[in-house]
Amino acid sequence: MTAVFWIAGILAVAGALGVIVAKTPVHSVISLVVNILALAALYLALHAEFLALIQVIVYAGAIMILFLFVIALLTARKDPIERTEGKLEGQRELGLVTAVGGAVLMIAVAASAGLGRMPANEALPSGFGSAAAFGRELLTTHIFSFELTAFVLLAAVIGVVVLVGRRQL
Amino acid sequence: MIGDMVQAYLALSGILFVIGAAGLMLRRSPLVMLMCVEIMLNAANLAFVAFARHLGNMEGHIFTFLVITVAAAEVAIGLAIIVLLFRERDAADVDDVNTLRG
Amino acid sequence: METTALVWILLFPLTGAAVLALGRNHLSPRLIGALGSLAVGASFAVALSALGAYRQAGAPLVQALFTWAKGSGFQVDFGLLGDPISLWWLLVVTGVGFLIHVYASEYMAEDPDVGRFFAKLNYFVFAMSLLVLADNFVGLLIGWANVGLASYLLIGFWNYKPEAAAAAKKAFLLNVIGEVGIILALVLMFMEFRSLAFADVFAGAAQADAGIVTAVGLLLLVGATAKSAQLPLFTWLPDAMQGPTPVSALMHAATMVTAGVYLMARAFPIYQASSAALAAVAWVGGLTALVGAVVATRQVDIKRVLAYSTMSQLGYMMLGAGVGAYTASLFHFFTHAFFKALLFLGAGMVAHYLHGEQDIRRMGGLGKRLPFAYWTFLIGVLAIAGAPPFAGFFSKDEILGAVLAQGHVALWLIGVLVAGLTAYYMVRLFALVFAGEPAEEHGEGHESGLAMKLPVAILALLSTVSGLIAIPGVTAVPAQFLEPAFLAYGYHVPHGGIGWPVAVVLAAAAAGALLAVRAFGPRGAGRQELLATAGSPLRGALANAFYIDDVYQKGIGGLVVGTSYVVGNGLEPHVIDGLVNGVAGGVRRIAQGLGRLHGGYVRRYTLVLFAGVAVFMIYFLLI
Repeated sequence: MTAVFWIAGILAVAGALGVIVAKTPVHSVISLVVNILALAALYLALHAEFLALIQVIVYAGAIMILFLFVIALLTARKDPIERTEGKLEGQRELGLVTAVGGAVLMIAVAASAGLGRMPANEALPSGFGSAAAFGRELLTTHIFSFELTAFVLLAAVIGVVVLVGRRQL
Repeated sequence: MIGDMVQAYLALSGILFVIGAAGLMLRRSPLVMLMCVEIMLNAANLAFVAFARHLGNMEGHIFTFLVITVAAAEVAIGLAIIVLLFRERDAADVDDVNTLRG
Repeated sequence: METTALVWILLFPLTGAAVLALGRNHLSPRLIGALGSLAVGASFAVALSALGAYRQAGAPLVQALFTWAKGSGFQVDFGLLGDPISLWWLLVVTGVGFLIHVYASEYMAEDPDVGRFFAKLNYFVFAMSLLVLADNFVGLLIGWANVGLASYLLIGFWNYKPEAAAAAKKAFLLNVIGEVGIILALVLMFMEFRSLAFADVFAGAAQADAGIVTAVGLLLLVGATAKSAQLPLFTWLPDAMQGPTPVSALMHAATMVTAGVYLMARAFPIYQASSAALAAVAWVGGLTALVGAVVATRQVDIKRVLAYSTMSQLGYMMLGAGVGAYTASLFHFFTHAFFKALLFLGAGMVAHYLHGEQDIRRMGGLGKRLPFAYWTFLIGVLAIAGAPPFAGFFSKDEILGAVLAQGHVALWLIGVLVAGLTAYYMVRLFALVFAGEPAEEHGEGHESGLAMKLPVAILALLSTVSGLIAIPGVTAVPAQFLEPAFLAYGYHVPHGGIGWPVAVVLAAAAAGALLAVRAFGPRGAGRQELLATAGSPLRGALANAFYIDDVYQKGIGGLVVGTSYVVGNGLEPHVIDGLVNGVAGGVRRIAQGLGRLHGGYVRRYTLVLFAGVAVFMIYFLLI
């Protein structure tokens, strides 16, 4: 577990950093995919198999592909924007300070929480993290939220059509 | 071991979140900023899953699922807006989009 | 004893004022004059009947009206009192008032605002009657304030003349100073006696705290000083001559200005209880008499001479009151009302004839053309100079005799000097106006009619014979009439007598008169000198009343204007506005600063957001 944690963890951080420092948007997307896959590995380590699957299929498989399509459509053969001067003064310095400070604080917060060890795998309920258990949980206790997500997706579809759809439609 | 400590996962989640925030503050391309938002959402998901494991409760997984769904919808809309933005001007600098102010 | 008649003395002129004010545009001038005179005449008739009732009852008349104010533990009742002092004043006010109303009905007949004039004049009579009839200090103060208002209205009657408006304002302001003094006195009175009725205050005056009584006396003196044009609050009186001559005659000679004397006499128990206040009254009176007479010798406007003369004679009355010789003082008020009104009305006839000319350097020789005015004015001059057997001789000598008898030698000497000066400046005035050759040609004059001549004749008669009611050793009508009012609070009024002091005064007056005849007679050197300066303004400290008025205008006036300037241009815009605008500006600047957080830049928003989150995290970490 620990080994998985460390490897996947470092990969996730690297991927996230890569998104920020990449020179072109496509490189950022690739970095993000690395991040997502690393997280999926961490989910597996945390006994969330179904969720790891969802993460890979939906996030890496659908969302990131969508990103790639749009990037390809829009920024082909264009220079990345950050070549030019920025408009906001002091944003970079303040941003870095805030970020570093925030990171320190996050670690401090996490370290100061007195939460103890996670239970052993055997102590978990049977079928923990499985599709069956997930499905049961979702469609009984949280059925209402499930229906609402349908609305969210509907809103997204309509929104996209309204924003960038063809006029004749 | 560290791998058994939920606090380690929380720390990792925090660091990822901060990286996403930093990217949001520092980069000017709207596409990259949207990706940084995704990083932050993922960091939150990690925290949920870690707690679900710690408490032996599947509700964390459910919430993560919902977050992923909403993230998908949000990316769709966000990209649509970016497309519109790119239609107006060639180089999209998010600092140019500043007319909605108080 | 109880009566219901007294209030009618007030109601007649009040109604007259109301009717005339409302109907001033609808009634003919003759009707207006008649109505006004009738109202005051009716008051005079009621006053006479009240006099008869008083003589019959042998006790003061009282009429309770209403309760002015009632609080926990105190009550102020408003009523009218007809005792010798108030009846004395009432008869003069309504009697002389009536005569002057009749005179004015012709004098003011051509003025387009004649209705307004008579309304205000009636209002004045009402207010003055209230002043002397009230049986408590509140009523007195109300009357006092209202006569001040009437004075303002009437001095500034010709309100299109800026000098008249300024004079009215000056009179009112100085009067207010006096009123402040009176109000403070009332406050002290109430604190000490828990009442403002005459009966309560005077009964307790002898036992009250000496300091308070002295303070009350001095504060009331302040009020009297302003109203009666005493030193140093006299500067309004010469300027008050801007008003029409009937006003000058009635208010600023015969009646209103004597309100101060009335107050000194009415509140005599206070002054008898405080020798310091009493001495102050005497010295104020004496010095005023002197200054007034001295300044009068150099005046060249016929009415201003008479104004300063009034100031001087009022000084005599205050002097008399200040040595406790109340009957002498009140007798002089009586005679002075007659001959001063006579002199003013005579001056009015002269001015009427000369179409408004008032500078005596431009007159002369009017004796031939206005014989009536000549003789009546001469009677007035003789009366005021103190020539026997005219009225002024008896009243003036009673005062001076009492002053000497009380041992005030310095004041007596001042009084004698003033008598000499009075004769001097009055003869000078007479000579320059009526005697000799005319200084300038005036063309056809405007003769006066019966309505003007008759009141003047009556006043001349009164000035001649009224002295006879107080021949020392023979008749003592004023003393006998007035003394009960003073005995009521245990005071025996001292008397003067005939003796060598009288001769001294006569000699002084004669000397003054002769000097004036020498200098200003038809071939006098002083006359030539003076006529040469005709048309130019007066120079010299005496002529300008020692520049006291200028000191007030520039000193106090300048102080007020300067302070207003500082406040208006400095304090107001910079400090007060600065504060208010500063707050507004500060808020705006803060808002603008905060607004900059809002640049519309998404990246900035996120920075601020996460900074806030970090702050929260620090808080939760540490707490």
